[in-house]
Amino acid sequence: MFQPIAKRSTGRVLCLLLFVMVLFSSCAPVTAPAGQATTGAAAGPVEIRLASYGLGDAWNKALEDTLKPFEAANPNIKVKVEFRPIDGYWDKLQTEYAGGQAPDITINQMNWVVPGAARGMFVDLKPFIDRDKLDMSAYFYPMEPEWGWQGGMYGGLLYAGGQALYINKDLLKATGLDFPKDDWTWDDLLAYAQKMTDPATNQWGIHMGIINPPYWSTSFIHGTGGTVLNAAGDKCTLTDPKAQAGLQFVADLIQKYKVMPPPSSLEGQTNPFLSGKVGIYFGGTWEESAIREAGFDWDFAHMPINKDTGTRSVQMGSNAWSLLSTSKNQEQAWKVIEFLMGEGGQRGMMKNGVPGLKSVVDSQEYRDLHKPQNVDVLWNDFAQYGHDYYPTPDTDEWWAAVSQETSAIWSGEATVAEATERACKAVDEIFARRPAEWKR
Amino acid sequence: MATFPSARKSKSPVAQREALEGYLFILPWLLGLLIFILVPIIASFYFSLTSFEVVKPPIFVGLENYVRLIHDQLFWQALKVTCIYVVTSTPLGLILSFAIALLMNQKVRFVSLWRTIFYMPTLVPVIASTMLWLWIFNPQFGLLNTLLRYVGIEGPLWLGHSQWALPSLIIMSLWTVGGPMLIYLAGLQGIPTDLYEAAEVDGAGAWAKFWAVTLPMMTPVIFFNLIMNMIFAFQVFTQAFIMTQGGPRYATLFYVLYLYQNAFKFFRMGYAAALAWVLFLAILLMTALVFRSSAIWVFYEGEVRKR
Repeated sequence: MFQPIAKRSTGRVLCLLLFVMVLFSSCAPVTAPAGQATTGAAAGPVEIRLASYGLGDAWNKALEDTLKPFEAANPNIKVKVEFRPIDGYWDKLQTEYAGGQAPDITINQMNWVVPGAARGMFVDLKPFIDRDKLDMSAYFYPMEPEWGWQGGMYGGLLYAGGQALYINKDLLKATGLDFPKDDWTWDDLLAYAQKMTDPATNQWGIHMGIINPPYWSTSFIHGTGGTVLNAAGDKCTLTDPKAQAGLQFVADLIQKYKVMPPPSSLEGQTNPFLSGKVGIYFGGTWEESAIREAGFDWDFAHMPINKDTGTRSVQMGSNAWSLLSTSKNQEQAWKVIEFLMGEGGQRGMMKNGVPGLKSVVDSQEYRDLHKPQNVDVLWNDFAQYGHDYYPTPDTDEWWAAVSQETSAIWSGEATVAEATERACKAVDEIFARRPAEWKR
Repeated sequence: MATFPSARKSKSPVAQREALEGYLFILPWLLGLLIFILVPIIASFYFSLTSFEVVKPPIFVGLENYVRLIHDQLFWQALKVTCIYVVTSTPLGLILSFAIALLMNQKVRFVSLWRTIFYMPTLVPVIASTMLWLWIFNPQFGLLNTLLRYVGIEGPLWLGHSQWALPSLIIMSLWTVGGPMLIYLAGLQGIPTDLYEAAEVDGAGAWAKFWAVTLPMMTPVIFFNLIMNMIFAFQVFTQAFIMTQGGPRYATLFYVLYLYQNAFKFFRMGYAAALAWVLFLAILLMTALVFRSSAIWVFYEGEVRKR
């Protein structure tokens, strides 16, 4: 019987659509159960794919060189290092994982570990750590707050990183100031900044690389006794007057005292401290090697103390090595991570960051590598006053919400009270959508 | 009337072989279309009906993602920002590029050099031009505020202020008017000179010639540029991704940026797929409307204008 062409075509298109939908519904990503530490399936030499974003030739070479002694000591394991661009690294890793093509080990930023762990991307390293009796007390850097999730551990230490306070000593000298004392306060910080600021020459007392919570302004929130989230990580606490007082101090640096430019002045610049026209720079530990090339005298300073609360706080957040749950050679991959976390790995990379092992960070060899700067300041502040980044499975989403709202403080568009009110409303709405299994 | 016997039944072996060869020649393109375009399009529709975190298998949820869109304030914000951008940057770009094309169509010295200069920015990769504009908009050291200071004006924070961030990106969009300018130029040079001569005989001045000859003759080109610019404007992403991350206070949260954030930052690929389909339908609708309106204002030389 004759059928109109349009009707026949519609039928065919619908059939094709149904077929493709059925096809895709059966294409489930390859996902191993979270935390299931399978033993290596392969016998004999195996290749472990270790993915990292490239951080320059020197860094890449340091990682490859660091792994050489491991390969020499473990002839059955060959480590294939895959360097990728940092832009889009996390996106690519997700799609690789979904397609069953992920590497065995990946470098992770602090905001990727728990979100990935909560979704089964990474293997819980705790059973390996316990079985191999890894001495976690040998590390000054607490890993659990950063990479722990529901009792498991999903990251192995690459560095102990986070916030660092850089001081331009040449500018200090030119202003007639001494290097800040170890117990300097927020008042001292302001006084220093006021003396070093010179609008006529575009010289600023203070600059913050990344300002919005949970980045560097957070150390001031903690300084006044506030927090960004509650202890359970399920409620925004920025509306607490204590948290608001910390943010207000930073806002005053910009708007009241005018010793710090608004963050928008950072546009187009990688690091304003490198210009030599910033006295005190709240930056990241990862910026040290670039600052080292800047051509002026500088050093690390302790974070200042809030004299009212007696609190000193520094933000931590670092890179980790994580084991992908799709890895077929988890035993061998763990051995690589164990090595990188250990003396060999931490010593191998110590020129490029702060090692987390006490024995390495407290060694003369490490100090000599960073001379004439006093690197003890960094790790001592981390060990005693470090605070985590409030990692949660929805980290990126609530960070974005907080960042959108608090940015209005620095531009003068909103008061601290208004911005934190809106930020907390947005964050709590995000948290309200969480699935029940995300309880810590 | 004599008819050929049924062509279907009596294809010669040569014709059959030619047909086969033809199909073989288009096969790579056809496979590419199927595998890299058609299948992902259909897949994205299926994913839009699922809760899909990328790293976990999708779970069918029906129209839940589409219902959620209605209640999502950021979806409406992204739609608003994108629509403002489309309705401002598109006409501004069209007018400016047309004006430059008119200038470039004059007999002036070094006209080839001028054309090259105006076209050159379109050859600069988006990332590079974005970095350049970050510098231009820098409130402290940027070119724009430095120039404003010369005339005694303290410029705004541009990208750092929620009221100025979107206008900044609209200004930046005019950087690439060289592309449509070139198309306009080709169109202008294709207008028969006898039309102008006839207009002059009728006593038309410069303005009358522009209004009665140039503009009507250029409407097909304007129509083409309008469609293309509008679609590009709906899909704008890189500038906001690099320069503002959608801020401050969501002032530059473009639709595609929000889509990307959902897909790869917030683990909501299913929701992002729903966003993609809504955008597709919005662009389709707007394009259809513009096409529909073209009957009123686009003049094709070979057609009798419908009234």
